[in-house]
Amino acid sequence: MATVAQSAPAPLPAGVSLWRWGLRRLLRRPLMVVCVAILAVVVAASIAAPWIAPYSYETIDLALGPSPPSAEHWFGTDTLGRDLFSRCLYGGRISLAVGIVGTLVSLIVGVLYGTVAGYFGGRTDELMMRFVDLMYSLPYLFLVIILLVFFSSSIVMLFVALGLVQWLTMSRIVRGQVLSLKNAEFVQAARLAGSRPARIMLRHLLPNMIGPIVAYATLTVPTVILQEAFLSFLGLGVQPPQSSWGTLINDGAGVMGLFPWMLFFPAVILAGVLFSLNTLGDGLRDALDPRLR
Amino acid sequence: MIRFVLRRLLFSIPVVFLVATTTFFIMRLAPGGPFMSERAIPPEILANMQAKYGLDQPLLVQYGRYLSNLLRLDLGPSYKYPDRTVNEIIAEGFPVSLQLGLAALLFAVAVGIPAGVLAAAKHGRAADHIAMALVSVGISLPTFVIGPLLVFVFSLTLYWFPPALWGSPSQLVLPAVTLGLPYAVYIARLTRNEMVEVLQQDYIRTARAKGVSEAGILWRHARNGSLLPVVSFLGPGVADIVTGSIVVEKIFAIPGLGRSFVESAFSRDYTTVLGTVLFYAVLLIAANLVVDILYRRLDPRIEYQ
Repeated sequence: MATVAQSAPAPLPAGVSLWRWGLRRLLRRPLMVVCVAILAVVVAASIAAPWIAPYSYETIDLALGPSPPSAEHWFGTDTLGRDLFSRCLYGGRISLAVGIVGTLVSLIVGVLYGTVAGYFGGRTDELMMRFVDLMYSLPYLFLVIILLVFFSSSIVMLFVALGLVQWLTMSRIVRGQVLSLKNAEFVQAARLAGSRPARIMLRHLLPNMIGPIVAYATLTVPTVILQEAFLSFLGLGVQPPQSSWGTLINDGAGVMGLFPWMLFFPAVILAGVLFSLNTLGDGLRDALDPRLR
Repeated sequence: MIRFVLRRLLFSIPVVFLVATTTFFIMRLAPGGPFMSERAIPPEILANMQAKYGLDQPLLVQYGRYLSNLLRLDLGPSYKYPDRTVNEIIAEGFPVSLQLGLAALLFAVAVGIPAGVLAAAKHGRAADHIAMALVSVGISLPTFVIGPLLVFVFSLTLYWFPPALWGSPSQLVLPAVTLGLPYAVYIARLTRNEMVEVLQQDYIRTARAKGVSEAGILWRHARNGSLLPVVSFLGPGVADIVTGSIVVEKIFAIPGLGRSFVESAFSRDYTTVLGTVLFYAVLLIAANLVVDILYRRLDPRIEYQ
């Protein structure tokens, strides 16, 4: 968050990379440490779900039905008597996987696209960025909904549909960075030394843009997770008996008056993760910005 | 100015065409159709129904016919409700969604801008930190969590507002707040950050030196400059509100356009899906255009390209 008071500008110590220095600065802020801790716990628990989940996520216990949180079922059980804690853990695997894969797609496509457009400039740039403008003006979430309704809503389809759109902003950011860097002296030197464009892009431009790229990627993960939850809420995400945080919230919202815990736990987890990622992304952007030294 | 608007309008034609084409072919290449139901329809009746709507023609012929109807702004009959046209469905649903969206927008601006200005005025002090902490919590709460929570507190516990349906002003409150809240916190943050910068400018110092009151500086001198990012956020914001209203209409059972879009998608009502998506596309383009014009109005430094 931009609100946390910036620490006084410290000179960059000799022999410390921008990276390590930025991380050090980031971790000096208590809020950031809390966010890292929240994420670490949730991610570790989700990955370890098959080993630490006390129950299967699909075992139905109709005799038990919906029961409030207890020693046997920490988060209670849902209307079909399934253990909510286990379902939240397994749901985390899917929500996080969607967020990470969607971000990776956006990272790869967006960085390549933006670098090429910015580096070559002129006609190429004009054309490529016009295409981005065009894509921007599509009501894409509607197209995603149509895509998911008309073709079965498999997880792969979800990955493709969400990743395909997220790269637009990334490509704009990267292009802007390239434009401001490509006439720098070190790039000219590399060009004079006979480096080919691909090498200049990968070896000289990319390392210098890593800060903004990482910061924006961190902000993309919560966006994608949120969109998956949004689609799941409409019944288009993962299909039962599988769960994601979005489907769990959807299930819980319907019976909130009777069994509030079914909404409470998944909602708190989702909000906590989104909050941590948003806060970390903002923090990283500040911490990796050399101008804020 | 006029050239700028014309250029933008010209650019929007291929967008609308692209939306129409993509949507048309996504739907048609997918398996299933509008007349699939759990009860099998006798093949002769099915053939008759398909013939009635021209679905027995080759795909490209159907596509051409759809486009030519589109030029006359005729979106065709609904396949799901044989007595209604898509134009009628939109004319019924959109006013509802529009009211909801405008109310949400009003709420967002009425809460967000004052909150941001006040936080900036108390820059670095407790009130600022509290406001910004609330903002980052608010940004992380999706609409479909806020909605049920508000219903739980204000309908099921306090009995202040009805939990669902549409028609009376009291039924507008909870949906509008749900839809507007994420937007309000975002506006608050934008206003605050921009205001903090503007307040350090020379002309503000001049105003202070002249003896203008603190309130006068905040609300008169600094306001215009700090509104710019808020206005530029309104473009994508309108898109967010439109998509958000799909969820809100579902939560509160509101008979708006968002709900009829989702329903028509699930029932494979080709024409209604297409018509609604196109309508939304035009709406977004118009909203972005208005925002750009406003933006240039507020900041004389920007030139019309």
